[in-house]
Amino acid sequence: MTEFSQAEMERQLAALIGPVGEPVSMAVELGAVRRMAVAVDDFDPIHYDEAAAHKRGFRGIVAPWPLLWSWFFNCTEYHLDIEFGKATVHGQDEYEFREPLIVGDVITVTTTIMAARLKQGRTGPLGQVEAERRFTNQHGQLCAVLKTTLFRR
Amino acid sequence: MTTICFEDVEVSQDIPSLFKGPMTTAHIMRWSAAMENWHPIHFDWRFATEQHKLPDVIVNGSWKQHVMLQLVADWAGETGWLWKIRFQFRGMNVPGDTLEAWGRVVAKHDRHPFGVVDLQIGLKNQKGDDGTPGSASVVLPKRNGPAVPYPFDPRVLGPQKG
Repeated sequence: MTEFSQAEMERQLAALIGPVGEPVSMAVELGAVRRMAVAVDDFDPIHYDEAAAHKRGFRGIVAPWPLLWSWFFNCTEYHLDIEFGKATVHGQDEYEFREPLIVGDVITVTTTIMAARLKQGRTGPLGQVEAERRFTNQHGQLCAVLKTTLFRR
Repeated sequence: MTTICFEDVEVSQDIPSLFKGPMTTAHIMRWSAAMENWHPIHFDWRFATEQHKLPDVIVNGSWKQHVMLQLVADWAGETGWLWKIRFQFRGMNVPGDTLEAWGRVVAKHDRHPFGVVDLQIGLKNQKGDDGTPGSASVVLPKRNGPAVPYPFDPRVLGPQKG
């Protein structure tokens, strides 16, 4: 495996900082919402029944928040261009919630690498990369912010 | 679903746990299908154990997140707002695991006219291993105070005291 100097590893990480790709959009589908809620035995009627959701003040059937990850799996095509290390590990997720994803919404996600730094891990150099995804709906409302910390080692 | 006010909550109180499992491959596949996450570590035992050296196919991290979201949202009730939540991925869960999502109030902040409650949360398996430690912040109404607005905008929170 190629050995990289500390300066080169820092250069690779610094080059990641900034917007990632183009914003991508996808609709919130009733089937996906229902299947996700059933899969965790979450029978809160806001995930199934529009009238129940309206009664609680929501615009419509409410998606489980982790549906946000569908935009990652289906829409965002990027990889971290890091030559050093063997593996990238998903270390931490932090969500901020503002407005639920409602069935029929079209959600647009933008992804930005906010920070990337080299740290000293227990077994050697460790790249720490912080990505931020911002999800907005067709009304321009910010629905959620998802900050993810990845480790390259 | 419960309705709680900021004044009802005490630091160090436990919130009701949520139990899931024993986990099966059906749980994992149902979630993967809904999420459209087709990474083989979630359904291909040979790939998971031989190529990735994992102990088994593994439970999706986002499934675990939902369980912990469900834990906190159920406790916050119809009048509270789950504002922030954070998880670390320190341990894996596999079929056969029985999981307990748990939470404890660790701090209260008077952000007049609302209150913010911080919780420590986690997801323990049957051995007591807590592989997904985290934290959450919930906005609650005060007794006789206004309802927490929806959509939620943190600018409605008053300044942090102290």
